Amino acid sequence: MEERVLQLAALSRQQDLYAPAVTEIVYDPADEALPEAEFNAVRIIQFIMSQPVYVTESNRFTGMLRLTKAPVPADVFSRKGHKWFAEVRSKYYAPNYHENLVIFEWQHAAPNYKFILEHGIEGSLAKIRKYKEVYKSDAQKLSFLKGVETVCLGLLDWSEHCADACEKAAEGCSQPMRQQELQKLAIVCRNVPRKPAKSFYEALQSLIFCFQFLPDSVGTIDRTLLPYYEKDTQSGAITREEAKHLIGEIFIHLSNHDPVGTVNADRTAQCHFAIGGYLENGEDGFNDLSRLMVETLMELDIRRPAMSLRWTKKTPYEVLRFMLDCERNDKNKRFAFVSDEPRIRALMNISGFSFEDAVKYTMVGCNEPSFPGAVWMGGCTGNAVRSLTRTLLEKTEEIAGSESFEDFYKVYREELKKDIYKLLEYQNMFNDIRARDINVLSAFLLDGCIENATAPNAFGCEKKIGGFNLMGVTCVIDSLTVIKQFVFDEKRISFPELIAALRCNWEGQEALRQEILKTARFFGNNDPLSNEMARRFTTELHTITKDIKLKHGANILIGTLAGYHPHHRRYGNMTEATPDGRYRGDGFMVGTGQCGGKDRKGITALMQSLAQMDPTGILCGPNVCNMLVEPSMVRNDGQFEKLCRMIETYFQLGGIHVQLNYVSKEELLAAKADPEKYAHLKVRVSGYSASFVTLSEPLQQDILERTVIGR
Amino acid sequence: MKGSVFDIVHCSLVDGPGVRTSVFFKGCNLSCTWCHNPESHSAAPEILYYKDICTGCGACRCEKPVCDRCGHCALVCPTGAKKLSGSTMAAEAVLEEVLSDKVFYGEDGGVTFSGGECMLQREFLSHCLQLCKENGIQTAVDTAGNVPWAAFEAILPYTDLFLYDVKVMDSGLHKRCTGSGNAQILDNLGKLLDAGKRVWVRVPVIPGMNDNKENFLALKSFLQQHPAPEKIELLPYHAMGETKYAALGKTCHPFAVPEKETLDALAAHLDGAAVRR
Repeated sequence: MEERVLQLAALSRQQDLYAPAVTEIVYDPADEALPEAEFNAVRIIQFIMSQPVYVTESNRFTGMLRLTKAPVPADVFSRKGHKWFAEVRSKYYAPNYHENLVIFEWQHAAPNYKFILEHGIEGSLAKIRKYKEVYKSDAQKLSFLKGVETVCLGLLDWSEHCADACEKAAEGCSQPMRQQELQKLAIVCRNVPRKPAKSFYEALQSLIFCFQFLPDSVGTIDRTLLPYYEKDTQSGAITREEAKHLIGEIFIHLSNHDPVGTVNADRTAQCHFAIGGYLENGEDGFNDLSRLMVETLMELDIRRPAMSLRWTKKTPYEVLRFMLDCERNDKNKRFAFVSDEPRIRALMNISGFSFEDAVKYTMVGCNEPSFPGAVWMGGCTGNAVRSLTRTLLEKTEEIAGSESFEDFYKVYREELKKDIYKLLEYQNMFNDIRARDINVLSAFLLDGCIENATAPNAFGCEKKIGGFNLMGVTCVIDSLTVIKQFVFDEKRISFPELIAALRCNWEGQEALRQEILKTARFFGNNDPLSNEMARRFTTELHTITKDIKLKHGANILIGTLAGYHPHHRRYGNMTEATPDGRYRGDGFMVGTGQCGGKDRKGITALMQSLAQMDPTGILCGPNVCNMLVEPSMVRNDGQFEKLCRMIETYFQLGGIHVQLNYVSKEELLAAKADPEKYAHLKVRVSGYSASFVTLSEPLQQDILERTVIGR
Repeated sequence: MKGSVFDIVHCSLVDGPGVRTSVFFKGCNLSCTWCHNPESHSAAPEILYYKDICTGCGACRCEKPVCDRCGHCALVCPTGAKKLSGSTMAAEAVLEEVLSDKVFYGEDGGVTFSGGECMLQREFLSHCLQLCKENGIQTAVDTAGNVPWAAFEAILPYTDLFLYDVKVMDSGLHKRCTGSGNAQILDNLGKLLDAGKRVWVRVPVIPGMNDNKENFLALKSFLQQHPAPEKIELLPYHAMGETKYAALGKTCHPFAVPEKETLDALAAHLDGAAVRR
């Protein structure tokens, strides 16, 4: 990697690359009379135009800035200033776990850069003009479109302003080479994002201009940028190596959006996207640019972006192995792996997309599926276990006489249904409240917002995708398994005895609890009983949700990730003892792996259980599976080859996600004891990675308790 | 047909090529001082007791006058201080466990029967091997070879690969370290190689016992008299079995863990033919 790019990366690890935001701005009081959307747009553009332009001794890109200090609501996902977002968040986010059932959560999105690169902002403005005509008699929609128009025009002013700054810097530059670079950059800024990008370099500059208007996932850029990359490398305009340097510089700026020292500086979920995956023609899309982006990231010691490989049945083994090899050598833990096979099916069968649309998905946030130009309309995380403990402890009389597991299950099913309905009520309420904000800033990057003249947070996007996360899924599966095995199949204990043991939190029943822990046919052992229970539970979730749409129109996909807060542990802390041997108050496990040694048969059995657990695809939302393996499985080359083959087999069997952790328990304990020494130790948490020592104590404990697989 | 098994490890990456399921038979006729599986020595079930993690809760209290190793105490122990090692399994049950991993075996993986000394349960082993072969599973037998040649003959048709331990070349020292001389062991190894069977020779490297030039030159000299084995692996001593000795009330003879340089030097005596695992 070019020295100046490496230096920039090193600098970004020490300080914010950008000058502090200018906040002393005199605004025109007359703006106050404008409708909200237009007011927001005018003020934010004035803020942008007051900011210093990023011109240094060596930059090849400019225009980067941050809107977190802007005076009015800024981007959707930094949420600066959004009044109603703040309102719903303050009431329903951690630690306010409502009814031990539901909590508010963030949403993530990816812009449609393809449109901007192909049509330029002029293309967006043409669309806006068209829809201003369509909605000319609807004052509110018209005002929204005027706001978006102001944003687009402001962006063009900003790019011209940046071009001016580059020209000025070029004039004062005594080094001819550098002078030429700055002159070239100025020319680029006069063309993009206004017009379609003509080169790979222009495409990247256009992307980084737009990024600040929706600083989140960058979507499937190995596809979006490919035509420009191929054209320029084939014509000899740039070499592959030069392209790498440009990508490197862009990645550093994506990473620097949450600069060192800020609260999310360490979290990979701030910018996460997918590479590879099926193309519209049914072929695998991992291309030379995908590989180049991975190689680039591997040469840069920066926290983001994070990438997930979308594996397909057509992904060459060499590609999977290459990615896993990078993963094992990546101390920043920026790579994860998802499979297209179950997800594309779910996006078609559940979410209702065509194959051609489904293959365009990307990963956003921790591990949410979305599309370039769309928002993952998640926004809530629920407790999957509450309905089970309520059935056992509050419907005791009703279930006490159950003669078969089916008798019990009928009662349980109703409780589960009630909880899911309730959870959806909350989710709709959360989203309704945040829809009262008017986001004009990101609208031009999200498909449908202009056409519908509606803000993305008010459901303006065309592609509808969303759902929620559930904590404690494995606990439910294991508990149902124990009830069936111990009470009904093997009759080792009566139902009233089991319920009594739960009521007293296993007190005086330790022998029974141990018997359960050691002989229950838990999930993750490829045991037909728990495998079937897993399928039954996930199918139930599908049956309950399949005819319901979220209020904004999406069919429901469910996931199992927790986000930056340890919701799985907090829900567990508030939940009664469960039949799987869990004590009252013990945290649940995050994701769909296994923990506490319950998977006794190793990684092959766990993978098989996971791969078969979801026949309907309902868990193709933000589902995560953390696998902790012995460090030797990745460090020893011979064993690593075998691990690669196993992961390929796991995906062939139907597994949807895997992220590996292979730090030894001893090392984690040492890091806990001496955080300073282990400040750089990164671990995968819940769809994202972070420094182990900066995680909250419950999350550290969580990682320590996950099952280590290997020998 | 049933046999005594003390562990089945799914997804073993160290007991032969590819991804393997390792079935550990209980009972051994050697008593190597460095053995890391002391619970494999006796063919009968045993209770391991880790007193350091016992809280004295009394959950394991038992009314039986003599322990019949039913394992109930281990079942109810809340801390894992008591563990039962060994159970009787039907060959069909073993097969079921092995088949559950079949999808991961790929081209070179399969089952490895190990121990203890799996060849002491000759008929059970033979039956398990046959069942596996009938189901298209590649088979390996991990043995120290201290059994009559007839035992090998019985399983040759069903065994794709032998993982063959050669501990010490000097027979006197071998007897002192393992309780038995090595004439039969080397004789069987020679016959296997001469018969053209796939063999991986595996040498545990035990500092102070066999980590010397003479031992390795003697091994080289022996192997030169036969068709070459497919692979020679050096298995460095590790201390992971030490706590199990105390748990069984047995005395452990710990060794130093060999240095990388030592292993490289020993491999060099075999003209670099050996690989270190």
